[in-house]
Amino acid sequence: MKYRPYVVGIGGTTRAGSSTEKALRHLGREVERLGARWEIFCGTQLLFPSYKADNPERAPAARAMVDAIRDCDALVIASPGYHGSFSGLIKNALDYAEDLAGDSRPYLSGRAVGCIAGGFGWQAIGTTLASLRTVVHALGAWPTPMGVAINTSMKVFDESGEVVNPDVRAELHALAEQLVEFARMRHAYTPRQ
Amino acid sequence: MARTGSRIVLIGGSTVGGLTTEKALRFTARLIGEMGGLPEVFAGPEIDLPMYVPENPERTPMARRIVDALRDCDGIVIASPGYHGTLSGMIKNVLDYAEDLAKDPSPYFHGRVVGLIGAARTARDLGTVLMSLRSVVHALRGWPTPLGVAIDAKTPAFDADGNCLIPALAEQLRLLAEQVMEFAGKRALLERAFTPVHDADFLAWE
Repeated sequence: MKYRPYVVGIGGTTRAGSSTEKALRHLGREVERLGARWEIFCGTQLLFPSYKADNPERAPAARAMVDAIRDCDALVIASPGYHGSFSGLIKNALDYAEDLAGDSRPYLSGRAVGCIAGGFGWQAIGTTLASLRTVVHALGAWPTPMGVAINTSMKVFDESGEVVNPDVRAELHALAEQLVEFARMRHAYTPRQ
Repeated sequence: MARTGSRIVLIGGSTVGGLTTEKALRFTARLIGEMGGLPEVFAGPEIDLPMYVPENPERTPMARRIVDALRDCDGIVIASPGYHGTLSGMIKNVLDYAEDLAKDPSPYFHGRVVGLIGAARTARDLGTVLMSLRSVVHALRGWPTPLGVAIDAKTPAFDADGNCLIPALAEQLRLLAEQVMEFAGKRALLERAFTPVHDADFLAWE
């Protein structure tokens, strides 16, 4: 049977239709065209309590996201740049990856992770991307070569939310290719029981 | 099978030969050789290349060798000392020569894994040197390994024969070598199966 990698995206802000959420949806359609399945967890879906290592209770939404991340073949993290880094909302969602510590594939190991940073200007975008990649390394994963910058001081989307900026389109396309390519490479050349 | 024969280029060290970074690099090269890879090391004073000048097409024989090795390799390891919180100018200058790969079919480090090692005397610089190296690798379109190895240069980590004196560090360098070899091997299989590698080929996969 044809292998269809499962790509999970987390991102956005509590405002529906934020730039990073729109970018995630666009990326989802791109990976689908490349033969992948995708699911995203956005904005208010990520409003979990702050992660507490010593408390085993989990909100149903948090459990759903953690289960999806556990099963994914590739992950995408899209965060706005708040004060030069990712938002607390996104970082808190990523903190829940601690629940994957005891897995056979602990944390995000063996998977490619794409990073998308949004912001009203380049400076915070650059530092947010670098911070996201550092987290990806800490979680044992492979950050894709391409990191995507969504500079909302320029025209990136049209009124319907479609990505109209050609550079951003090209970057999201390259990111989708790298995610699917890595997942297929792992799948094809990793011995399975 | 997938692990054998991968050509890995290792670049690093400082103008003073034989310090921690270079020893870590050579130790990693040894591990890669033991894993069936073909390591090629460019280290220390020999990589003290003339400053890269984009408009000057002249290249020293060593600059040409390094660029050719990078062009033909399956994976890369870079080891830099932390100078003022980031990679050294000498290492950055060598990496600037990757511009000579811009027009290649696989431009820059495209499709290649890059393992990173940083050595510094303070914990703060250890973190930032690795982060800087990773940013450069992303800009060159390479895949930084999940693990980056940070070495505390205040504590002697290697003996005169290049053996690692710290078991935890030896284990990290082994893991780094494994991640480089695993990616390089799988990527080589993929490139052989589908040439050239573009998204259209993946649609027809399996």
